[in-house]
Amino acid sequence: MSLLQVENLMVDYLTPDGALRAVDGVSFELKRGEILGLVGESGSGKSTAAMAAMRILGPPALITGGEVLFDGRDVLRMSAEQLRRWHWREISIVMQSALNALNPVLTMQEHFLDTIAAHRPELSNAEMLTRAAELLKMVDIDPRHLNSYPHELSGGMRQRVVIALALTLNPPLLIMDEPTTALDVVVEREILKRVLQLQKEMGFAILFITHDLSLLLEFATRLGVLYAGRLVAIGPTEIFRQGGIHPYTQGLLQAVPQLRGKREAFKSIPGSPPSLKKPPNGCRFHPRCPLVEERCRKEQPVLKHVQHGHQVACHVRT
Amino acid sequence: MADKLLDIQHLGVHFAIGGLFDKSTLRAVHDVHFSVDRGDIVALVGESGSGKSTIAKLICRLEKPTSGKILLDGKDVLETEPHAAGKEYRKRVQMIFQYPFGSLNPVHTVAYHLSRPLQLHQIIRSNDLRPRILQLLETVGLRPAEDFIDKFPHSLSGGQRQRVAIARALATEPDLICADEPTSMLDVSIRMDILRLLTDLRKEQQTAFIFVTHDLAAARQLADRILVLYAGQLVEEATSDDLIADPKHPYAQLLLAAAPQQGGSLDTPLPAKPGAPKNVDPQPGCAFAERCSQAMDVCRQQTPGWTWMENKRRVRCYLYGDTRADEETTK
Repeated sequence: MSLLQVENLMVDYLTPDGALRAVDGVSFELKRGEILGLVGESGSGKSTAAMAAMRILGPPALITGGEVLFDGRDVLRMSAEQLRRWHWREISIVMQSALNALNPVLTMQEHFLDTIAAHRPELSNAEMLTRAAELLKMVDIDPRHLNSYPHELSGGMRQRVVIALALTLNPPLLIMDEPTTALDVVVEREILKRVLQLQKEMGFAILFITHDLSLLLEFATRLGVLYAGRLVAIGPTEIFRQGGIHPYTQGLLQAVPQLRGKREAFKSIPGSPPSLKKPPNGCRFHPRCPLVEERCRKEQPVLKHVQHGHQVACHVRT
Repeated sequence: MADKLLDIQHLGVHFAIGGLFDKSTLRAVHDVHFSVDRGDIVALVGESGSGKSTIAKLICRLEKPTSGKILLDGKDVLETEPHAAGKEYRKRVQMIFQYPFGSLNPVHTVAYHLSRPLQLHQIIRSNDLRPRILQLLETVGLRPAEDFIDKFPHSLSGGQRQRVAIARALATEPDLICADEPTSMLDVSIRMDILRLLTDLRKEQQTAFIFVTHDLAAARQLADRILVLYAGQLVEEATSDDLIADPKHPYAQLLLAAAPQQGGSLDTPLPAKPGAPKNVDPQPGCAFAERCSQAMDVCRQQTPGWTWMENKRRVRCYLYGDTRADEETTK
């Protein structure tokens, strides 16, 4: 059984001009110990989909359809108390801005004690402190920083603390929403290496959300590509490494300047991502697609199996 | 040399920080020395805190250096205009900012944004204003220009806003544009469009660019030369191809190893220790020494000077030669 199963998820944002569908029929599953990458540009619905699956979205967002199963349990029907117990023990999230994720007037120690006390009240204060120190060491931070305030730590250190907090209760699933986007490349790489080591040791699964496809290619088990609220490709990372099959995936891969090989001409995808207020008819990528055909303008393609577990939503490629 | 446009000499920004009893010095930029030829594209690459954006702001004279010279066409502008840049300098040196949502005023139209530089610098008579604005919009690829000229920033996408910002910088027909991470806030699929636009402008108008970025691959794609900065100091300068093919300075090697790339893997070890640039109360010696896996005793004692190599390449590292920085100029 898969750890997380998302079926045909729909999320709307209620705006004064009417409802706007941010996530439109997205389905994916995540097995235990697996790393699934969700990639997309701004407005593609990648964060909304993950936050909806975790039930941490508030108004004006509204889950209007679909099903989310965690270990066989129906997440969309969980009560507030069930959600409280589920969050952090079994699923936790690391967000992009570590500065905002930490409370500026609390020390690191207070952050850890708060989290541990909420979920493991049976532990004594001393036991909690030992655990907090252990968690900081796990992410390569000297436990003397337990008495530091967020502003006394660098951006990279803060993000490490947020990761340690998320792993406090050994959850089987960790959602990482652009966890390193605000960081420098060297720091980014150091943190990701550590997270992957921990993932191997502790065996948790990761749902990794980012706009950076080339980064995901280096460590994800499987990848899903979102465009304007719809999943357009999903499958094992290998096929993406070879250039992908969906024209949008191919365009994205080519739009990233390369360090190696010949300096090529500037390649990009013409146009810009559509507005969700008025998404194009048919395939949402068709106005920018180099392979566009007549039926792409009318019929919305659905995900179809192409090869080795790789699915794409494209009339031309399937 | 006739075509040398900008010459930066020993530029520095040192701040005194702290209170009465624990004074320290913060070196945001230190002893930076380079030049830009007409029509040249030079990339400044480094992590946050490396001083790359500060250098761009110093050159555009949005901030004041505490030492050094900025020569435009051989004229020392800090001497002739010590307090603020004159109109002529502002006309010739323009800036594009990282955040296209903050650099345009939400209550003004595109036409207003582009008319300001044209009017302030008296480039054009008011009758010809609109045709010239339309022409600028065409140049930056906002076509048909009539559709964009009366729009407000909120109805434009991030990429379109950045194009307006570029058009505004172009309005004065500058010789040099400092572009501070012009694509980092934009979606991946449209970044290359903006980079292509900058190279086209260089080709058509001989505009020189200083391209500030943390993305080595983008720097390689766009720039003729790459300057690598660490803790406010230049550590290496080379042509883009030379630098990417064979980075010499251990910090340049680290940056390259950390950049995501096709076929890369997180399992590859990084060639340096974790750490951050130390800008406060710098000790003598190379700023990178404490993280460097090849550091020698001398690296911790005295700041290295430049070692020159083929192809106008230079590197500030004792691994390539025993030149020491002249302490008089580096203080």
